[in-house]
Amino acid sequence: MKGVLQHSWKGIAIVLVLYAAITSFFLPMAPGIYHAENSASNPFQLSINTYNIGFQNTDSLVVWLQDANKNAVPASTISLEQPSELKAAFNPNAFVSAGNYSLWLYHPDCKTLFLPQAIYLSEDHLADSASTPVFNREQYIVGRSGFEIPYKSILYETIRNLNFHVTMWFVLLALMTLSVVYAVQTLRNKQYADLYSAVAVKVGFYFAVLGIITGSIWAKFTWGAWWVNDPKLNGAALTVLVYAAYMVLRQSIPDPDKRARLSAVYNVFAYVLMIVFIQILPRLTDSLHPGNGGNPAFSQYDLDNNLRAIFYPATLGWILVGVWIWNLKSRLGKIHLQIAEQDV
Amino acid sequence: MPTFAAVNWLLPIYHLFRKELIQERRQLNATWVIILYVLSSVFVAYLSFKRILSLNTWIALYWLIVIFGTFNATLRVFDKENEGRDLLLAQLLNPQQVVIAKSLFATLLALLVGLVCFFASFLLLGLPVENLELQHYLWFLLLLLLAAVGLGFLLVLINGIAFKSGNNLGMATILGMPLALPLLLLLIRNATLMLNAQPVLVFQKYLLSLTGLDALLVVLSCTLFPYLWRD
Repeated sequence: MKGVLQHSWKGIAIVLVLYAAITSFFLPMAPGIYHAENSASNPFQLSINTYNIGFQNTDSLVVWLQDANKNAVPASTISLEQPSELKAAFNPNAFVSAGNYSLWLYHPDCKTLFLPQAIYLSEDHLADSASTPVFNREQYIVGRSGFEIPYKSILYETIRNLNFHVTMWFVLLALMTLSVVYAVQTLRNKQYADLYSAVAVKVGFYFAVLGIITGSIWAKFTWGAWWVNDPKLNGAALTVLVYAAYMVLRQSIPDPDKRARLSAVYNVFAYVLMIVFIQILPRLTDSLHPGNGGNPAFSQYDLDNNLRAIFYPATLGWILVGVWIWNLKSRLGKIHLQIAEQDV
Repeated sequence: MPTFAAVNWLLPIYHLFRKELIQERRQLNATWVIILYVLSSVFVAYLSFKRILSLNTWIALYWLIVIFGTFNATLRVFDKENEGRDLLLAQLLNPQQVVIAKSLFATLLALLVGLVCFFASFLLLGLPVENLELQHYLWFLLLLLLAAVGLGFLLVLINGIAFKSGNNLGMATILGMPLALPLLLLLIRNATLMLNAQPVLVFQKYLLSLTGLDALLVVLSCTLFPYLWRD
């Protein structure tokens, strides 16, 4: 019974990672507006493409454009080209301000969908005697319920990668913290602390490589390049370089006591500078990553509740898996050390 | 008497620092090696660029040469302590006194590299900005000083690791280069704003961050060096 409780965290790790993998891959994505464009000849004629939802007819379909002051202009006529492609025409006299307009769509099947900055209207487009029509937008704003992957323009289906890419960096951070804790223990002459510290760096390094690979694929899709200039990516590169240097340093010192002490000193030094580099310096600049413009963490608006219900368990699960690998590898290393001592 | 205690603690730092200076004066060739390294690097840049027109390129080249120059210059900080002389130092002095004295000397070397590089780049490559006032040069001098302090303390600890690991060659660069990146990032940002003749209000945030990073490096070096130094 004691053994079961003692090892239950491994079961939790398996369950959480499986849950995160299955939900991330197989949960359907919420519908959304994929693309909206006004025709060159008539800026008040919009063609709209929806994603993951098709309509059979235009009954009970409501489409409106909305400016920054929430002045809503409903479409006067809506026609269907294809189930997921519709055309909406707006009354030119109904637009009172120039600027970006967001596009909103309501249907009982899909509830409210919306696309930020769908079109831009300049002063030239506005009629002289324009007035906002009477339109109660509130009744058409209905949130979706049910467990699904949220739809976000630009990201689309790749948003599922969040549960694999971001979690890798959380595992890395956890393992590096573990490593630096044992590095401090090494400096206090605790037995085997050096082994634990070194193994944590090695395991963390695998996760860093996985994080870079998953991030690269994601960046290619959303930002158009495998590698972009961004504080977080610089931080990733720095982390990989520092811990590669750490392993080179370890390889180069034959004497175990000296190796333990020197690499522990380097580990603590590097960890503190790494935290400065990836947590403090990015606050001084803009980042392409979410929560940008001063905050490298997630903002409360970036994650919706459904995604949270996958992302947090995924993070915990992957951290537990990382710790599990670390645990196995350090036990193996300990056995090797003990065998070597017996031989002596 | 607390003041006497402070003086007693600081005095060995001064003596060790003076010893470093005297040794440097007796081996002036080592200093010339640093200066020539910087001059030839700038000359290589001059051969390929002639005049640099973009400030960003100028700053990138400048800090590259300064960083690599400082890495080279500080490689020999612990070389004088070979053949067991480090053990003697460890017997005589508190490790914190050793690291502070050595780091101040390294700071001096870094400052030398920075100044030589600045004047050489100024003469050969030209500074691609106009209407710089005296205050901007003074701010840049302060930046150079902060850079030298940061690099000095960082590289003394790194060189200490490399020295104790027994294989000096290349190890310091591998270990130190990634760790110099936070410093380098702030230096580039500060230098860009300063040489663009921006007012202090614009870059004070970065200058304060740099000062904070320097303080962190000093504290880290002083805490970690004792573990390195005892054998």
